[in-house]
Amino acid sequence: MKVLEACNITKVFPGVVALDSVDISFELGEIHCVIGENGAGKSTLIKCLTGVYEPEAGSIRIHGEDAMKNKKLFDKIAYVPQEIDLFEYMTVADNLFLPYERSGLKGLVNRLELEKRAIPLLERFHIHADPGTLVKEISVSEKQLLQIARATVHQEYEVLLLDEPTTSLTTKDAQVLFEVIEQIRQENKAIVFISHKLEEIFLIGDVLTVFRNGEKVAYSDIHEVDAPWVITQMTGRSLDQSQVFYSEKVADEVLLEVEHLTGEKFADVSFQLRSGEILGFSGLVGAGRSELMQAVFGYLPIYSGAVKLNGTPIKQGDTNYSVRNGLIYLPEERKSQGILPMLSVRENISVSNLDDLRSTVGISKNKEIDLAQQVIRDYDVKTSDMEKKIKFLSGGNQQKVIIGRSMGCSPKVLIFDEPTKGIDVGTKAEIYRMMKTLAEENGMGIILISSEMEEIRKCSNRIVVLYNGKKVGEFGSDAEKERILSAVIGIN
Amino acid sequence: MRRKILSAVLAAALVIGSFAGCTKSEPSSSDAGDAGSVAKKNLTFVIVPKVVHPWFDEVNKGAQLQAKALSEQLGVEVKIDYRAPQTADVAEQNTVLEQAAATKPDGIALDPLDYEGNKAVIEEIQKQGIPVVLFDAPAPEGSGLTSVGNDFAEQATVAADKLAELIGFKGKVAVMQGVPTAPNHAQRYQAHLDALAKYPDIVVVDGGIDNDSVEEAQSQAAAVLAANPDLKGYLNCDACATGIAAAVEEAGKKGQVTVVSMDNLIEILQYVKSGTITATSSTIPQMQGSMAVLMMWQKSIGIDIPKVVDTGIAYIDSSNIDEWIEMVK
Amino acid sequence: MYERLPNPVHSVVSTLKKSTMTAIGAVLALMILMASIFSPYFLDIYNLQSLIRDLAFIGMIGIGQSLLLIIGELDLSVGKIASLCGILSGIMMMHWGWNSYLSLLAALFLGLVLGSLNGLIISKLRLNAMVATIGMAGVYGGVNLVLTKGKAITGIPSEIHIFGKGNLGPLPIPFIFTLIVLVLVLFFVKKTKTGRYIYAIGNNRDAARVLGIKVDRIRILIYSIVGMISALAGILYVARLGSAQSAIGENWPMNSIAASVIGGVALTGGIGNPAGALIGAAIISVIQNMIILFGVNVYWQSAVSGFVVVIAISFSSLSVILQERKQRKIKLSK
Repeated sequence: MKVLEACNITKVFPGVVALDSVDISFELGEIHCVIGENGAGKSTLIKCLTGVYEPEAGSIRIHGEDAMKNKKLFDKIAYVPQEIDLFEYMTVADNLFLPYERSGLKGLVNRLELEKRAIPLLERFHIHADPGTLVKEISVSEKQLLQIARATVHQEYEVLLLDEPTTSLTTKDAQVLFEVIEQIRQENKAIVFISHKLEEIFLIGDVLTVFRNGEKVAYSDIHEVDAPWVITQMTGRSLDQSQVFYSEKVADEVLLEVEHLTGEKFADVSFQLRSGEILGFSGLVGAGRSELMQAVFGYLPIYSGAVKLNGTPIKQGDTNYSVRNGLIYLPEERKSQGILPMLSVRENISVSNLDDLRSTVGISKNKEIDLAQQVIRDYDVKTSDMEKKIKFLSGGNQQKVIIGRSMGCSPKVLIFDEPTKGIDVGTKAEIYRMMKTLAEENGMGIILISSEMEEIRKCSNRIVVLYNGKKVGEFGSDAEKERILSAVIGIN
Repeated sequence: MRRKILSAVLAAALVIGSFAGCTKSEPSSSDAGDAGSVAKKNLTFVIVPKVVHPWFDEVNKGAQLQAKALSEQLGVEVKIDYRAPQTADVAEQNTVLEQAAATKPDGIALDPLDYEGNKAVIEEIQKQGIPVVLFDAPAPEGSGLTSVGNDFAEQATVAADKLAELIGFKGKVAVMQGVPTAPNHAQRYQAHLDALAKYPDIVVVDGGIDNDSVEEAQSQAAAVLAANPDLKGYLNCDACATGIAAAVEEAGKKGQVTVVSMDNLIEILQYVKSGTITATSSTIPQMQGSMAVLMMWQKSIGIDIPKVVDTGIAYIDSSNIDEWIEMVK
Repeated sequence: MYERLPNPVHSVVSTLKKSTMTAIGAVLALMILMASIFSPYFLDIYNLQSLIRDLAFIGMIGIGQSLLLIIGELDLSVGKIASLCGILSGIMMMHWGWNSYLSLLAALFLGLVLGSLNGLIISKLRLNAMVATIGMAGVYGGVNLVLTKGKAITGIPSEIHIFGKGNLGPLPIPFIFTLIVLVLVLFFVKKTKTGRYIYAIGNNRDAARVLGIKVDRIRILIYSIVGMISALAGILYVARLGSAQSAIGENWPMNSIAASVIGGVALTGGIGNPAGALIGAAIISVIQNMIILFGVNVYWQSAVSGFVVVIAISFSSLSVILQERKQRKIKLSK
């Protein structure tokens, strides 16, 4: 039975048509997967279907009734956003029930009662944190699960929208999530699952809708199609998934040497990185990989140990020193540590290359424009023009800008922290190819932090595994997947 | 528990209070208001102005001089304890008053920020037998308090009449308002208008509002001068005439526009000296201080004092400017 | 929707669509036009001169304040720095018998020191800029009172009066200083590395650190610049009045922020052009001038000027709304 029917939905933003006459409908008891490259319009669709955005054209009917006229109908739709969007300084229970009407409690907020009611819900979602702890204290995966739990606490919902719910989850946590999703399907709810990860879609999906450039390009029963077909629909071109991207020109010269490094979230980690090498860092979310690399880079404090760049110890805690000496970190959190959202693409590019843009009277705007054009061309950044604010670009294109601008600093060591998080399959391969080229042709040393096992295995010459802040293994590129995986999850 | 904390706080307050008392003066006899027990004891009088301000420093100066004179005459030490609140806030002024009363002085002279807000504390202090005298403000009806001060309306009237005379009783005169909610500014403004109304050939124009800021006085006066090319005279209601004078100079209208101002701050006197301000009509803060001390002393030894002591208005122009500059400097 | 509006308004609205700067420029032009039509005295050379002399001060501080707003901070002690530096220049000249030009330079340097003190405590002790500068304003104001007991320092040597009262050609000298400050600041933000970094810091402080930008050092630098500009305004005001007064600059913090915001500088940081602050200051001054020229009753002045300021701010945000709407229309029509 169709619970939601959207017809002819069109949504326009400054500079872009995000959705172009889209028809889509959801059935109860069905898992409907939505897939598409970044910027294909998936997130916008969700925001229209949840009443966050008002589309310029089209109709949304819920149980046959026009939801544009009766906004209350949107209450039937529970939505879990892609970004974690919780109140960090409130407790797990508070986050679960806010606003408190949902708790079923009347009058004053009774903290103990609230926490008592939270326990069964948390158990259902395998969240082990105490309902009284602050959200900022719990792990990323628990936050993601909590976010889903929060959406389902709403008693009335019939459609559950999940926008890339597994981005920050490890494989194990994702499994938990899938069980929960299956359980919800059994309760005869409609589930909309948005993801970049094909394996997941084939694992849990019933039907599939593919988006490209704001349009719906395909709809099918998931059991009738295969991965290459989906990729062709998404990108308009086929991809060889078996390709490998590790560097074939590793030199002997050691670029970066880390000795017995200890910081807040990691202890006694040592490793070496050679010129022309891609060194993968694998581990569970929260294993301390990002924190380790941010400390190496000088962004987070080091308690003990040493970092040597080209044999010289770095100035600890000084990001400026690191950048000047060619040690560059490309953050995982693009929004909070990478882009300068309100500035244009041009300014986001030039900001790390201002030394090269000097002329006799300070920074030359012409040189700046040339550089921006060059980066946009070389790194295939898709933007209508360079004066567009970068926040309007899709995640993949933001990432290309961030990579492109770093090249001006003549980097020797590049640290990529989850470079393909939330990025579509096509762009992912482009980024892998970029890393390979940089290592082979420019002799750079590249560190790749990734939670995707496939990505790490495809790209790395060597793989270091961290578990709970400690280095638990180091593997060659030919190591078996199972061995690496057991190190990742802490089994020797 | 709460009682314990309260009593501890009270004890601490008492200790601090009595300590302050010891340093300020000899402990006074248990009943300071008793007329018979004056004999030979040292005296302390407290002065509480509205806020830290140079005008009140002049009040203090007058008070100090009077204290010195009294000391010589009486053969005891007479001290002035000048306690200025940091901000013009009634609650803060009340705290200052209470702390002052805790030292058991022989009298308190107060320039109330807001009589209704100060009332309860004043009555409390009077109950302790400490005489209270108001200065720089009229005594509200029924308060029974003595007020040492001047008539602000008279101050403004003097200025307006002099200005009328200086411009030959005809022409355009601008009056700049101060802070409309300050009673003395408002009184002066009304008195200016009333005084000028007596002269049929004088046209009064709006002179702007400066809210007690020299900068605003300057920018407002500049616009008024531009809008009234035939302006003859300028009056104001607060101590910011410097701004008007600067605007007149910048307009090149010195000598063409006659400025008669209020008060005797040094920067205003300098403009009187240079002639941009022709004259200023001033209260005499030193006299207020001196009279307030005299009244407190008389009250403390049980002599009846008048309800109102008028300290008069000084008219300052080129004839007496040098002595005033000497006095205020 | 707006196409149906009558013609003169239509032209204003279409200018508004272009950019915030042109929008507020248009608002200023419109106000000047109205003022000159409705008051014969507005274009009077003396009125214009004193108007421009007035706005020079708020404009100058606004330009500095906009730099701070761009990095996402603000300084509420600008007025107190101005008056303290003015007073100290007076003390150096009158009490210590220093050469007057030397005293002015020393006061400027002092402004730099006070500003960098603000920056140091805010960045190194990780304080909130608003609270910390309110506190420092208290400190500077208190030092001022200790030094002067609230009394003015008079008799400032006449050779420096020209800096406040003089004109160069038709332009008042303080305004010349403001233009110099503007040119230097514009060069700084458009053409130097550090200047460009302030936008990065204001946009995303963490990203700026990842890029290797010395965030704290730049913050301290901006506070120092603002301190020095405040001191400049303070000593020019001393020159203008011919006496150093402790009560000047009370309204400067709020007015400089208002000028910046009217001029399109975002309170949230990362966006804006310091030149906008000067236009904003001009708008504020023209409003106040018009109110007197039009003979608005004194009791109404504050209400009227507040209302006009709100309208002026809405104009610059209206331009953003209209821009977005226009882009949307273009896309839809494709």
